[in-house]
Amino acid sequence: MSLQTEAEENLRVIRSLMEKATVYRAISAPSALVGGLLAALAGGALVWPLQAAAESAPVFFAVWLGVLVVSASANAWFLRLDAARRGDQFISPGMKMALTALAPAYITAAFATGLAALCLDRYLIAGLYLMLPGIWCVLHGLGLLATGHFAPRSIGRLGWCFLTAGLAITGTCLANPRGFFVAGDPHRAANAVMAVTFGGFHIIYAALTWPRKTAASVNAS
Amino acid sequence: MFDFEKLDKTIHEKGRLGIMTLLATRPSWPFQDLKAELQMSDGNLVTHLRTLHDAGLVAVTREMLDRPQTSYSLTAKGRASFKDYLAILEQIVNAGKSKQ
Repeated sequence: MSLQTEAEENLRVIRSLMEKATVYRAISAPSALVGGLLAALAGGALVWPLQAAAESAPVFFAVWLGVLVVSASANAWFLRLDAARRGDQFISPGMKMALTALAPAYITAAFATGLAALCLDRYLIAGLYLMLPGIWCVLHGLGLLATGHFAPRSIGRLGWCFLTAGLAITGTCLANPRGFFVAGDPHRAANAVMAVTFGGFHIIYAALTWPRKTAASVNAS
Repeated sequence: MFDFEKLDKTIHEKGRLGIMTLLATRPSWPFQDLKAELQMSDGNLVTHLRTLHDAGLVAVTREMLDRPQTSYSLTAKGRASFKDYLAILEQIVNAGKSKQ
């Protein structure tokens, strides 16, 4: 191998290792498990044992905003632990990049949620908030996909799952609003969607990305 | 003709080059993370880290968290040597291109 070829090969190895090392995972497997279990339990409870309470819009908002706050706090806690283990800062350049990428989608989600909450007392769009699960799925998916250039592939796949499911749910609601809002039980449908998507998708993601110890590392520790 | 002697032989070895590259990306790396990222055996990684430590390029920190953890970081000399090594690689590549 000539010196120039060897130098080019070494520079390629350095670039690829640096890219791999600067990958930032905005959602760790333990946080996804906590958030997923919370969403599945909350959604499941509102679909069946607490379905009477679920018909109240304030309960819907309180439960899902509560799940969001607890899941986001758990995520921050796990990210802090992971950063401390690596000897890195909690608010690292990677986290700043992730927050910048996530911001447009999450600000839009907050705006849509606020708008739906403000419209609760308006007769014509009183059921508007029941479309929020689909909109939240779309925007969560877009947020995750926006981190694609520095996130591991699994985050991108999770983003696509949310985006696809969110578009299907929102499309179904818009194509047949009477069916969604009038027939059946729209409150159960909205909470079931939350349990399956925010619950199920995050639990599956946690199971697939959970850090596994290799046999060698178990023997060494 | 490029003077091959300018290349730091301690860094130039593939395994050690990988270690130096990773250490240049963060303030410090735990042993297990380095091992997972580079997919090296314990013995191989320890040997390379010892060589880099003996050359004054890498610092070792041992601390007791929930269990003993050994972390590695670049020393000032290590960071400077890595930068010099990169500059030399670029010179080699550029020299080759200008000949073509």
